[in-house]
Amino acid sequence: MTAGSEKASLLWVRWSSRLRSPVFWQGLLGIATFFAVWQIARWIGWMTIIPSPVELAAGIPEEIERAGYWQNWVDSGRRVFTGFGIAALLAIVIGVAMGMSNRLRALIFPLFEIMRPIPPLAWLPLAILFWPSSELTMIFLTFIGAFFPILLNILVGIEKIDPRYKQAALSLGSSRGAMFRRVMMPGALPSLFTGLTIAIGITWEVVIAAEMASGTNGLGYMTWDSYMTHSMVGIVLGMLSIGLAGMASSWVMRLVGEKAMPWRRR
Amino acid sequence: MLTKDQRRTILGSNRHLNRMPTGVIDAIAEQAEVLDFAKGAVIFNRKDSSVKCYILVSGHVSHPEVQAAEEQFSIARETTTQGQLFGWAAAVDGLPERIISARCDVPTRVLAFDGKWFQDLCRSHGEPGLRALQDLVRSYAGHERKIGGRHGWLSLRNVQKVYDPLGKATVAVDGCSIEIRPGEFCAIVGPSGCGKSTLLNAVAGFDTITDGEILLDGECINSTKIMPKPGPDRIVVFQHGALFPWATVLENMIRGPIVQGKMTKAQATKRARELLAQVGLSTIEDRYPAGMSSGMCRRVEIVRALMNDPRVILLDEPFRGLDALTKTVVHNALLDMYEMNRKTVLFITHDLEEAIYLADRVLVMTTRPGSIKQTIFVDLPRPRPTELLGKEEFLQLKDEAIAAVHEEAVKAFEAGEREMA
Repeated sequence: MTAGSEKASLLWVRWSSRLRSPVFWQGLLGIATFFAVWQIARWIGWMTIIPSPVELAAGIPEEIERAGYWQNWVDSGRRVFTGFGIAALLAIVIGVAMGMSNRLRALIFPLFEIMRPIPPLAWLPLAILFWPSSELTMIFLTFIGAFFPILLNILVGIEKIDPRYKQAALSLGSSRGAMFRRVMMPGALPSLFTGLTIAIGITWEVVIAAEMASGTNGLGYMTWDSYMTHSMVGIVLGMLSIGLAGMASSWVMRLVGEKAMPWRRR
Repeated sequence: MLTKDQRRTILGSNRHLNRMPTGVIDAIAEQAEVLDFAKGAVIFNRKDSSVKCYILVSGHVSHPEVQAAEEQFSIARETTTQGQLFGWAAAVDGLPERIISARCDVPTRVLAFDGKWFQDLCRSHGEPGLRALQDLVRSYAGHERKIGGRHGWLSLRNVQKVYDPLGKATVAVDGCSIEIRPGEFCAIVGPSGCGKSTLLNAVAGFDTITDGEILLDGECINSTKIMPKPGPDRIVVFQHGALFPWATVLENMIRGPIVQGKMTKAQATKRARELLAQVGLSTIEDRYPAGMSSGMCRRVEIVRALMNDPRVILLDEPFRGLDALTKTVVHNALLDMYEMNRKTVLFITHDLEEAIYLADRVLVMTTRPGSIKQTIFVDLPRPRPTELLGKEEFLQLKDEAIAAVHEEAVKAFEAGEREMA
């Protein structure tokens, strides 16, 4: 069997077992029940402000077809991933340096401890004043949101590497470089991915809030704009879109993590 | 015949024996028998079982295997001086066979005495006798390495380790001297916290010592003067296993030789596959440690140690936490690997039965401060099958050992209690 077909058959096995597992159907049932309760609540006359699922199903295609809907995804996604990418890069560089050098860690850590509890949105006024465009302001906020969780998780990851592995590597004759590449990096990866997954969630929260406050496009702006124009379907569609975007991002993160850490695959 | 005084003079002219208490020399003079050999006679051959030690009275004995004399290790190509000792192997703990032979070039007269008896004699003379015996063994180990070309002579001399983190000095190990010959399987048994792991860490180079020195093949690897450095000549198999979880079995195996620059990736892979095949683990080379049983992991880890061709393998309670059935499997795997490739093994455990089953010599360590209190010689033939565990001779040895250790354990426990109170 070739590697390709083996992979394909593995994927098939995975999916067919997922379809057969009750957990999958239970999840589906939960979602269906949620919408059913919502629909029934509307039928008996509660929550009249909010459109019912049936109305949503009827109204959403039109909203989606409206010009700019998909562009909103692109705009928000671009902000999230730019901020997140810069944060990840910087946090990894600084985190690894701090993890390898105790002196550097002692120098920087207290400063970060003060800055870390400041919520990303508390930076908004300063960011608006500082950055020349609202685009940069929003990217900066997502950066702030992602940076600290990633950094902290890298530090924890490096710290938590079992000294046995370092000793084993030393006794196998590893140089400093080999120690870093072969022990520190793979050892800290699981924790790094925990950080990345948390961070991507936070960036979506932050970008939505930032768009509502100072944006002119994006999913957050779309939701806010729908409120301003009293489009109930638009509001709910915006929320659903944000939920889906966050979910998809976490899912991508997990997939990348599995690829990067084949030893943790079940 | 020789008078007792003559014998005493001859024995006294030996530089090892004259350092021993006078009682030792007297006893040897009393017990030794005079043997005469004709020209061309063979006193002993290489690989003969070693029973007797000899002191030259007159004549000329040559050792053809010796390439070059090494004065500092008392190695000579021939024995020609009156009082010179040869046939050392018999005087060394648990060494079953001769490494060199002895032939008479001219008619030769010697004094012969039993090696085991001699060891016991030295030990019965307390501290000075013990020290003299240790000196002898030390000289011998160097000798064995030079002649036999075998690596892995581990020598711990008066090692002390005091932990002093908060000004409250804790003596973990004190006055610990151990000689381990090349290829010997030596176990250290002791209750938890007696300093066995401290000792192992000091040998491995993970930790400093506060007094004494540790030598590997005559080279200092740890003392108060140097910063210890771990290296591939001393591979450690850890208590809970240290296969890198992020690497497959094969990657774990080949990493050492590659980072040391000893092999290319292709060579290392080939060698790793050979080794895995030898121990019947070929099918798992692409598995990750998380997907294997702990027994399997430990076996792979022992093979990984062999892969690096170390001089000494250090086993730090590697079987802790394995269930009894898995333990026997891994024990046998370890014994097989030891048969395959007789590396010096320093094996740390708290399980006396396991130590007796696996080792040639079991050192009993007691706590506060940790030092070697007792030596149990395991005179069981190798290879050792699992059935041995139920055999009379094994059980008897075990009972004796338990009785011996129990006394020390109680003493140590009471001392500990007193300290607590």
